[in-house]
Amino acid sequence: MSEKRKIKDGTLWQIIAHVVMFTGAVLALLPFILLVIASFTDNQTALVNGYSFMPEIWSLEAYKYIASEWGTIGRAYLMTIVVTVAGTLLSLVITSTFAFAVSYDKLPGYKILMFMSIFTMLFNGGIVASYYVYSNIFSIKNTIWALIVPTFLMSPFNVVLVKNYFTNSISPSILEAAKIDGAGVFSIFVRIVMPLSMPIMATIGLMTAISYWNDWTNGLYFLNENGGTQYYTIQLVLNKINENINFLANNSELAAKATQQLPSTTMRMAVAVIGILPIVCAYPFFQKYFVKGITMGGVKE
Amino acid sequence: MKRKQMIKKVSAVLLSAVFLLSGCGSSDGTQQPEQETEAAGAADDNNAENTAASETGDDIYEIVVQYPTLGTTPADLKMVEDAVNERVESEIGVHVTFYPVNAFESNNVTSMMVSSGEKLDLAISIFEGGVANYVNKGMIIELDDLVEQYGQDILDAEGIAMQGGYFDGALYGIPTEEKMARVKAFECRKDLVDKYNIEYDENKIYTADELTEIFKIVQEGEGGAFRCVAINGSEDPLYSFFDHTDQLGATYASGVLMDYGNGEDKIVNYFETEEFESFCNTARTWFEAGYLSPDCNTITDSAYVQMQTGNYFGMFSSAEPDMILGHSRVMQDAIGTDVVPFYTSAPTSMTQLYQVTQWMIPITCDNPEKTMEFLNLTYKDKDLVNLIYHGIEGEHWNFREGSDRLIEYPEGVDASNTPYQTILNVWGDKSKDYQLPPMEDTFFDMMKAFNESVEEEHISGALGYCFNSEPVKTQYAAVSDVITQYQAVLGLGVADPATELETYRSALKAAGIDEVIAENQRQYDEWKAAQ
Amino acid sequence: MSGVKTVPARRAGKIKKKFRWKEYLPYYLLALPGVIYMICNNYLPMFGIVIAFKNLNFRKGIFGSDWSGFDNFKFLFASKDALTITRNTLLYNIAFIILTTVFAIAIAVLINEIRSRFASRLYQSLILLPYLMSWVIVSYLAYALLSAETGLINNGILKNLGLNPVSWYNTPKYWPFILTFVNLWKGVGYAMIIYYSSIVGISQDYYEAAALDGATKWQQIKIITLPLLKPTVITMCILQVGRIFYSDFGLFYQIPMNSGTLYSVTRTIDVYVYNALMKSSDFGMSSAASVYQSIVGFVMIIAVNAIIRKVSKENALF
Repeated sequence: MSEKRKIKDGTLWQIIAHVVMFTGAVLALLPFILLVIASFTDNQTALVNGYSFMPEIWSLEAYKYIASEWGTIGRAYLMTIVVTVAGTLLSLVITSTFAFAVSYDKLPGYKILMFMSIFTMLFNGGIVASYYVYSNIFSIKNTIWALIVPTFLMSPFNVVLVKNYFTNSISPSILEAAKIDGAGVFSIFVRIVMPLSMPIMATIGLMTAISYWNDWTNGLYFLNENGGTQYYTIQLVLNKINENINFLANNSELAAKATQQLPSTTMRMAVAVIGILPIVCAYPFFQKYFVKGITMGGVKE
Repeated sequence: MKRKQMIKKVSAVLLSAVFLLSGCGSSDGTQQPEQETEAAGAADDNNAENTAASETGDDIYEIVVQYPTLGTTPADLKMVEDAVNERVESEIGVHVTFYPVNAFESNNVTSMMVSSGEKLDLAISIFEGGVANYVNKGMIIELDDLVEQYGQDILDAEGIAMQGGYFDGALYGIPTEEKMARVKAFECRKDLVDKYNIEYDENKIYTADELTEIFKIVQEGEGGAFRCVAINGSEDPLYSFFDHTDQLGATYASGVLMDYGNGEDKIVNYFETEEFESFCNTARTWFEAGYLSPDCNTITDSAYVQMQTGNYFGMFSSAEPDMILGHSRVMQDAIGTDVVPFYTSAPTSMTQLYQVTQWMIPITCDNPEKTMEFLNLTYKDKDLVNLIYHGIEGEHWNFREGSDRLIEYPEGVDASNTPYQTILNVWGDKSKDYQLPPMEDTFFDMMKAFNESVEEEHISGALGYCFNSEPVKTQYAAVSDVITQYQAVLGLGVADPATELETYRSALKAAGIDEVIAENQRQYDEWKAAQ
Repeated sequence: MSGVKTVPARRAGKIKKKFRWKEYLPYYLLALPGVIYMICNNYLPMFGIVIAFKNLNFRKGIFGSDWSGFDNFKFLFASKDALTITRNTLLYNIAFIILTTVFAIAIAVLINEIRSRFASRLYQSLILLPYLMSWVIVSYLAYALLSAETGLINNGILKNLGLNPVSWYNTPKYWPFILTFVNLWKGVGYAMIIYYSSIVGISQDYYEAAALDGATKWQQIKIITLPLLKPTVITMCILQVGRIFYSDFGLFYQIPMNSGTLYSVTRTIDVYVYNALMKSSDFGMSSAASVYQSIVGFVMIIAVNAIIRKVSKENALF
């Protein structure tokens, strides 16, 4: 192909890529901007006129509310961060070690282990049973483990992805070579497999982090107001506010008597905004690891 | 590097150890020791063993009482709890521990606690339509004997409201009502009523057609985006304000008795009636004429919140004196006018009215006698109930000049910053409650007059009967589902009844509504014969 | 094969493979945390499945309660809409799987082509944004657009074009498209992550070699990128098929604002179960619904996995 055609071809793709991505980005961003603007809108105006990109009356009341509740909300923030970081790290360790064992197809019973993992994705005992197990047998109710351990610590979905990565993207020859050199299994895992797995680790790390960040079901079941409020996460706080508002809305008899102001819709928008920001900012950190073109250590297939 | 692999090995082992060790960790104070995997079901009415952890001595029984909140636990709850204990420990030998719970999840919390054998002595059912659920799952105990022995003050205070706590022949729930009747109305803005010189008769029961006339006038006058009726699709359906039916402790899915429960003893499918058909047509007229917002079935804010924007003439609501006063106060603050009620029903007395808030004793309670004693005390002792409701005298409130039942906030404290406030008042004999501003002495007289205003012909013949849906639970679930689908759209006139009504009726039949109603009738006849 | 001697049959039968503990133990140790976790988190609570077949009575406990056979399952089929609901769930899921995969791959490929690292990272972050918003919030925003009276579409766009306002929440025919679009909008940024990380792992040497041979970009994508993505795509599809009777509750309940007129096109099994059990919170029935969905998903995964095995063995899950 002539150089000119090559450049044209390359440029054409650049243009296509930019146009499509730009449209996509705008579609994704606009609603978020609407969300942010809504959080700065005066609540009465929002009720009467609906939300718009140019509200009639701007107001900081939603953020003032957040500032006044900073004791709860700030603490929830801290908890969310702690749980997300700890949970993601622990999850990466458990998932990768398990996936590595399963990826070794000479290991007797590796298929059983794999099936064991996938089976959990299909059948589960339900919340009553889980609650019983975690509250009575393991007593994690109202502790920080209640947010980290249930459900997310090892997801079969991640196990499959990591195992596939190990199988498909790491050449067995490297492992063989290392074994011949006398390296032990742990050593191979830590010194060879892990560095080569940065993209997949970053991938499932990001997905796990998002799962932890967005989760409110663990808190809903295992934390209660009797000693668990210090562990509330941001999404849980938002969720409880919404549920309480729905409860009031559906039971108007109470509404007349409720003298305390429940957070208005715009306040809920504000809480949602501050709930999203950190994870968006954390994304670039993971993106560093999506490094192009990792070579396979010079082994030709 | 050997160190790195050692670290990896050690961490893997440690992690597994953590899981094993946490099983041996200390449980929180409210758990009972539990060996088997079965849920504890030991409590039985005559079990008088004291196995709960007690802090202050062997004679004192600790009871765990649910304390419903709307998300935030009052800051001074512990202080109030201590004050309560000062009284009750010496008086009846009970130590109270309040267990805050979000109102919307009280059902879940109770279920989870009971299913895993955790100690819970007094559970609250709030806005769930009664105790049927709990009884069918075997979570709570019968209270007949306990109330007879220890609950005399409860019976005195609640009177007719006790009828709401019966299910399947026994008493399971203790209500806390200060209102012995309910009345429904269209509450609307006084300033607009005056502006258009609309005739207002407070002794009249208005029909939907009469309201249509009024809406016409107001809509023409205000025009534009103004709407006559503020409504929310998930609240009580419009027809329920006009139909004067008794839902027999359940819902429309199981059939109703017409005419305040005083007509025929026949349970009917409300949606087959001519009355419903003509209401659908009226609702359709309202919707097409613009009295209702085109978004009425999807709007998320409650009618109450919508009213405060000033863009609506009125809303349908319960209209007992305290409701009118409360709504007026809020509307005054919001847009500067009071509300007047156009009554759409007479004050009535039916089972489901008394199912709003009910106290229950779960099977995980070890000493139901003491628990009932405490509950009874909240109906007997004026100081105790106000302590729980309002807080500590001098600290959270003071008597107003010259009154022993009207109170006010202390200097510098108001509704928005008080460290103790009970939003959901579910405590004891509410007629003994002290009142904050703007309620005055007239409030007590108004409530008394209202309670006594229920006429004989408006007291339902089915009072005390509650339908048990368990035998037909499949059909009941299917029918409820159909009703949810059509209730907002037909009830608000969003869909055209000419086409949709027939579809609705046949969908109900297909889901099995006739079987549910037959079961209901059977249970009802049985109950009536046993009276 | 000349050089290899076949082992005489007699001796072959006698050779036993020694279980090479020393070789396997480290692997088992590595798998141990995961196994312990699965036992604690998933297998211990498995006993809860029996709740679906019992008439749960707390007084008798989970094991003491009476068996109720398949009674708890009946309500799933009692509604005359049972077929519609199942149809909705299946069709939406199939559409979602196909569309999300196609769009996610397309976007991953395109982002990979962008030379500017800053731009590619920015785009990635932005299209992930929708995934991070909860469905409740998204439903408010959708309401801002679709509200009959105050919505941006009716007020801002249609009015200015002189068209009549549409009562979006009461017109079923638009909703399959609306829901599909919203699902795509929310999910593609997340799905793309997986495909993108796979693409990034493909060695540049392949592309350089292809370019030297005169291949255009499109050919490179067709010949190198897509085939190398095949294992990931197959895995993802199998996993998603296992959830084919589940649906995203937030999408089908919150977004249509639970509007009754839309039920025929927006109701899926999860929404139906929620509505049916809202008033009674019957654990037995909700457990039955869960078992029903699981069994179907299980059967589907086995079936699809078997098909894949016939086609390309190494890509099957097990």
